Amino acid sequence: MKTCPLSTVQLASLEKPARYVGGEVNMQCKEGPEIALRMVLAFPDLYEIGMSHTGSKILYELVNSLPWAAAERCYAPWSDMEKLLRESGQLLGSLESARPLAAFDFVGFSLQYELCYTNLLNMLDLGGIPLRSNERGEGMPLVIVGGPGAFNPEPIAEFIDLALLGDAEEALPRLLQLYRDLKQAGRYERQEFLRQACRIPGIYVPSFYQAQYDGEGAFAAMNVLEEAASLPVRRAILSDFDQAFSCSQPLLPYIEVVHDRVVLELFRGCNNGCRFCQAGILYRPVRERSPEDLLRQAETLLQHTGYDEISLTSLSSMDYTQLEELIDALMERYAEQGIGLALSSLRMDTFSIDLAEKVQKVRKSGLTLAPEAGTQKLRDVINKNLNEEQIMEAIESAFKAGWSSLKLYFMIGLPGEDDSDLDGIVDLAQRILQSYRRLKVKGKLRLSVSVAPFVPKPHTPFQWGGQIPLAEIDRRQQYLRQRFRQLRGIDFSSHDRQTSFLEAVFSRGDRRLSAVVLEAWRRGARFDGWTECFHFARWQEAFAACAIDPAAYAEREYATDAPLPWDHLDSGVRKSWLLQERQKSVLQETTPDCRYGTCGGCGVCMDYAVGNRFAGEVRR
Amino acid sequence: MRIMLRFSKEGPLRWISHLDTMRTFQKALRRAAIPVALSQGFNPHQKLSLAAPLSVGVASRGEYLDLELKQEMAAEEIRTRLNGVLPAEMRILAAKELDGKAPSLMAAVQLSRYRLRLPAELSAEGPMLIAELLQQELLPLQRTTKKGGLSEVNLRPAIIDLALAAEEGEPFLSATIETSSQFFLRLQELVDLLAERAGRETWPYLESEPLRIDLGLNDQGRFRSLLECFAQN
Repeated sequence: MKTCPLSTVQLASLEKPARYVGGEVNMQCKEGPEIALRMVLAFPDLYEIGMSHTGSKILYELVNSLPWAAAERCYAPWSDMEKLLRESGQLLGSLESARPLAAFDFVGFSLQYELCYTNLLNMLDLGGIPLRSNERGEGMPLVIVGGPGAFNPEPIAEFIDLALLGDAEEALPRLLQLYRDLKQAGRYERQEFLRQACRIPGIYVPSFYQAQYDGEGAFAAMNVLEEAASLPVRRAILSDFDQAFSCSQPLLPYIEVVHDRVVLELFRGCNNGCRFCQAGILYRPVRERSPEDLLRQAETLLQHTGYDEISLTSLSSMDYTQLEELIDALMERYAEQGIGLALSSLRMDTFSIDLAEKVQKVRKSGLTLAPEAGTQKLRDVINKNLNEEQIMEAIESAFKAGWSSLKLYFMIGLPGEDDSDLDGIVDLAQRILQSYRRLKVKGKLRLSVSVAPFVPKPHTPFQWGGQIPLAEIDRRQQYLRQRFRQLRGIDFSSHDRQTSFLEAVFSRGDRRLSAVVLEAWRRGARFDGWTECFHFARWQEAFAACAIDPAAYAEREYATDAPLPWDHLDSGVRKSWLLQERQKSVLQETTPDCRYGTCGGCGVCMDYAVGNRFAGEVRR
Repeated sequence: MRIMLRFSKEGPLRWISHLDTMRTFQKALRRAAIPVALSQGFNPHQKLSLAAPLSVGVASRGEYLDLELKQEMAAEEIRTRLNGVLPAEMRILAAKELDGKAPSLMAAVQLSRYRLRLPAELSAEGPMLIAELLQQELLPLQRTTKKGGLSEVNLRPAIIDLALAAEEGEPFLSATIETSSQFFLRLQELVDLLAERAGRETWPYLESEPLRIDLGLNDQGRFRSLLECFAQN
């Protein structure tokens, strides 16, 4: 294994040298003449975040499982490392072999959210790769993005060569195979490769499309420049998960990272239909793994990792049809060995609380629940099918089971919200406090309420509406802060509104924003998702320098018949259905989960020949 | 049953901390299916401890781990199994059963032996430098106390031995120093001392690519490796 080119003294000057040296258990260094293709999975955030991301670990193992391919890794360098690299003239390279990013065939970034764009540019620059797609010649890598951000990568379309929309398990190997085949036949040529690649479902080549704007500067159309390119680009959907590739020897970090345990993905997709949630759209339909498959995976993963905790993960784990059976089987097998279970995404009902209690018998860490809205009216608007009685019942079960630390998540700025809805958040919190006191549970309740400004996302029923103005977000945050201060006993926090504002600009952004991203990066913007690194002034200057008003993007209201800058990218559901859901939200009408029998007509099953796949019987 | 493991920590593993090393072993022990005893109580954890802390950035071929088993397993078996699941830069170099009455390794350790690379300019005067240093009875150093003041300490008694050797034509210093709870001589302090004696500016000790060779006890002025002490006969 080639070692990191930095000297001992140089590494010692860094905050956490272990971020940059590799050597982790389950790392794979594939060298040899049979390697026809080398890909670097470049995660546009710190090592500690990237090494907590399960998707990247799956891709790492997936690509490395191909005998002719090698996958290596790179993470965004912290400011101290960036300074060292720039001063010494060294190029940013992979952990496995210290190869500079420019030496790879593919550089893949996972876009988990919008505020990683400047890290992406920074990594390309530090890795010796020209930033713009059209500046990259034959010898340069192909830059590809994936993850939820790939469904509207328009603000960085200029900088990428490809995007993968949807499940990568089948689409990525197909793409890599195409590359290899062309190379082996001696027929590889960048443009030819891209022409053939865009025929693979899920692959989007931005350079094959051109955005058109009308006289007033509004987005008018996406013109297709290349015959082979499809309109829309279809999403890659894996229909059967039991057949799909799964991790067996995930990378183990040495240093402390955010998530460090066995991760079992119970299912992909979610049909709850919360109208604000993009993930619920991008990953439907629900495709469950069988309990047998999951138990097999758990055994393999424990053997190859030595972890003492298994996390059951999904968008809404509690909906897994065989959850109780799975938990019983896991506890029967592993509880004695001291291996614990962790459940994510708790639903707010007594069943969930009972299950969570079963799992956390010994130690109860805090409980996190997300009512999202404080009044029934608003919950109906967002289709969070939850009533006050259910919430209180669930919370009371939690208290009786011994939980004394509770964190509640809400959003502000949801469509149709007014101050009475804000009062609803406070009233709910107050009722929870009173309930705790009434139950005479031992010890003090640690109740915290966290509020975040709503960011409208593309491919959701709320994609046509804008975010409320920054000044109004501020007013609502202050209003809540005031009211909670009067209440006492509740810890109130609100997410930074300027970061949310920037997310809102980019989430429904178009190609004209790429100049702003470049300008902000030039001015030193990095790690914008990190409070200590986020400098709103830099972004304001960048917008001004490009003569673009960010509020025009964040607050933009689209007419329901207006073309949208992401219409050419198919999320799987029909636009007509999104519009229908939007209309229902205005009328405060709810839509039930389609698993209970009524198809709502979102279109994904019909248009993609897929369907909900459940491991067991669907119970109410 | 208690086991003593001697292991190396090199390459990228130089950069992981004490706690990181503990966690690495915890996972490795489970992968290797070694029957480690668990502590009692609310949050049961494996009963293992590292003998001495190692500064981040320093490589080692002489680290020690103290392990308690809940079931018998041969020391050699443990060594083979662990080496099968650990990365190449962390090798179990030796494994021995500890005498049940042996103190915890952490409490027992008194001395550390290091190998340091010397700056090229010092290779000529090296032998003389060392001889002269060892002749002194007093090697003073001002250390800041916890309360913020300064106190003068004598470093000479903490230097058990210094010797020069050449490896592939490069001069190396082998230093055996006291690193106990009574007195802890830091590598930077040793380097500062050498620099001062040589009449030149000091350098960051990591520039000397320090390697810890072994840990041991002070047996009447002589270094005795932990591996030799406390083993079950």
